[in-house]
Amino acid sequence: MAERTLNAGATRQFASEARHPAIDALIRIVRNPVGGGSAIVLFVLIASAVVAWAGFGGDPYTSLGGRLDSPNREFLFGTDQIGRDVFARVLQGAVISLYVGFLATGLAGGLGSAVGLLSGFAGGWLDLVIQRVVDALLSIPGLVLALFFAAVFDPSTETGVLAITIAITPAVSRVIRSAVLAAKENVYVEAARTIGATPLRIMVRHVLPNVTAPILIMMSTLLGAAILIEASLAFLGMGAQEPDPSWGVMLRSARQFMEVAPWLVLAPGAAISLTVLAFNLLGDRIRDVLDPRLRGSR
Amino acid sequence: MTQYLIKRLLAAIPTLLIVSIGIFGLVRLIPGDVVMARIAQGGSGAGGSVNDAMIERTRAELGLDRPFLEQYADWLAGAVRGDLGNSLITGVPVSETLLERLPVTIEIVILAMTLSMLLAIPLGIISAVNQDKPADYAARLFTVFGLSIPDFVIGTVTILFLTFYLDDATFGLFDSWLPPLGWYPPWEDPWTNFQALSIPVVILAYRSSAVSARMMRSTMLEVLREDYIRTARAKGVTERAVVFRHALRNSVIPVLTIMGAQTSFLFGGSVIVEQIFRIPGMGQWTLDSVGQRDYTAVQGAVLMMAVVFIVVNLAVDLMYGMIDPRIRYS
Repeated sequence: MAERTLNAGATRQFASEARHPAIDALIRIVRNPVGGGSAIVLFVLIASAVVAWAGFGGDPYTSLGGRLDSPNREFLFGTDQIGRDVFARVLQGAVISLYVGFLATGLAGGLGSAVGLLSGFAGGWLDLVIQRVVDALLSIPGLVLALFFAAVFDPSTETGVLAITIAITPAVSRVIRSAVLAAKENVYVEAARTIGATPLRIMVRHVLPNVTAPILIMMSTLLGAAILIEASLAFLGMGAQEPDPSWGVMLRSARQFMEVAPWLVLAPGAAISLTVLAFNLLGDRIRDVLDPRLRGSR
Repeated sequence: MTQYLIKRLLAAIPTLLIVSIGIFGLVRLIPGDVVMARIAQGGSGAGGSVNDAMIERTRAELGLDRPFLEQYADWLAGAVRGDLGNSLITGVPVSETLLERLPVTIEIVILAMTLSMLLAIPLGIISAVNQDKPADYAARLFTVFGLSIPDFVIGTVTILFLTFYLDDATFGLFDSWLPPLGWYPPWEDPWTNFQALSIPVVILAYRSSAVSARMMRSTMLEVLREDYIRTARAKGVTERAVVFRHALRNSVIPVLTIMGAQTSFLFGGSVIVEQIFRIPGMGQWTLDSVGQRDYTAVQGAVLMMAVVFIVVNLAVDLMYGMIDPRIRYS
């Protein structure tokens, strides 16, 4: 009995050592005011998006109140120019932002990683050709590139996803390529090649696991960037369209009424800013934990 | 040095070719739209009906019935000589509009870039020297806000505040004021030009300084851990001299390398601020042309931005040699 109590501490210590490194990293990311704070903001954001998506966030499309009612007990963020509930619209906007953000980031992350892996691993003329195309895409401002594609395929939420994917993929592939070039130099890659492993096997089993950290670090920041471009496109009239309550669309429509109804500007403006801020801070924190060398301190 | 310059200029050619083929090809993936836009513009549709003959005629007029490569070669031959074709909507030569629009945006980008560096370098130094102290946190908070608040939100809220709340907020000290919208040639009316551009420039500079300041901080921290810095401190050099005479020069170089990328970012941002502040520059022109499906204009504008980006990057590369004599071109 007494022996067991004595060993309890040791067992616990052993358990923490045996914890999966991914879970360990996750705990370290969240156990920090910055990481934890942004995780909470993002949790609230995702939760409200789910609530709105399930239809419990109020009706964002029909006029329920008077025109341009200021914020009150019934309409927390007031009503817009045709009497729609601004709070319900901001919630529904979270659905659009997250949908576009996650989809575009996922597509760009996958596509960019594949291209970067291929380019970095293959080398030679294939690398040269791919890199010139990436150069070309990077020489055009991301927003302009997205604008261009959005217009080619008629502006809508879905073409916005495509446009944003194309705008951020080149940057992803660059980062992955340089990570691959570094990982390729490892002795164990040479060892694998010596024992006759196929290039595909080396790429997937030996190089890919070593570039997951840069991929993960980039993803969070990219989510913020994608949401920002989505809102910008919508603000310029080249993304989601009325009556869809994308935050960018809401701001665009609000500008004519902002003198009498400043809440129409402030509510979606705060929502975008807070969301992108949370993704950026979380990205910083993930970077600090996963890649301390990049931190630039001690 | 001359050899290096020539090599770099030659290397820029494939990039520009890919940009131009990409833009040109994509635009032609959907030729129906150009034709329809043109016919609609002509206003000749009797009762809105469009017959096949009319479509064919317009296609021929625009040269869209010829093989793709022939069209591209034609356009490229013109572009090299400075002829980018005529706008599909107004018929005005694209190069003419370009010459009107480019200087406006260049003024904004240069002012914003200068202000951004003036903001970012001191912020980065303050952050690095006071690492993990309140000053560092304050500077980092300031920059992360800059990264996160979209320019159109800052722009809209600034206009809202200046126009309707400035007098209340300052207890009547300042009258509420709407900055003049548009662009005024600085050689005719410098004061109005300054007033009109001040706010858009500050917004762009703030957003882009966020990236440079973060970079400045991390490179400064790295340099401050170098052996030669320890040597300088051991010699008894004052901290001020260590930071400004020994560390600054080496840590500012990576920050300058991203100036090229910043130019691209500023051109992108100019689309938004020019829209909000009604400034007739490249950004507004691109957005309008995209909206009207004026493809020759879009081609010209996007190609021009790519050219500016490549030139700035080359200039930055050549600048290293002056700041850091250790770098040799080969």
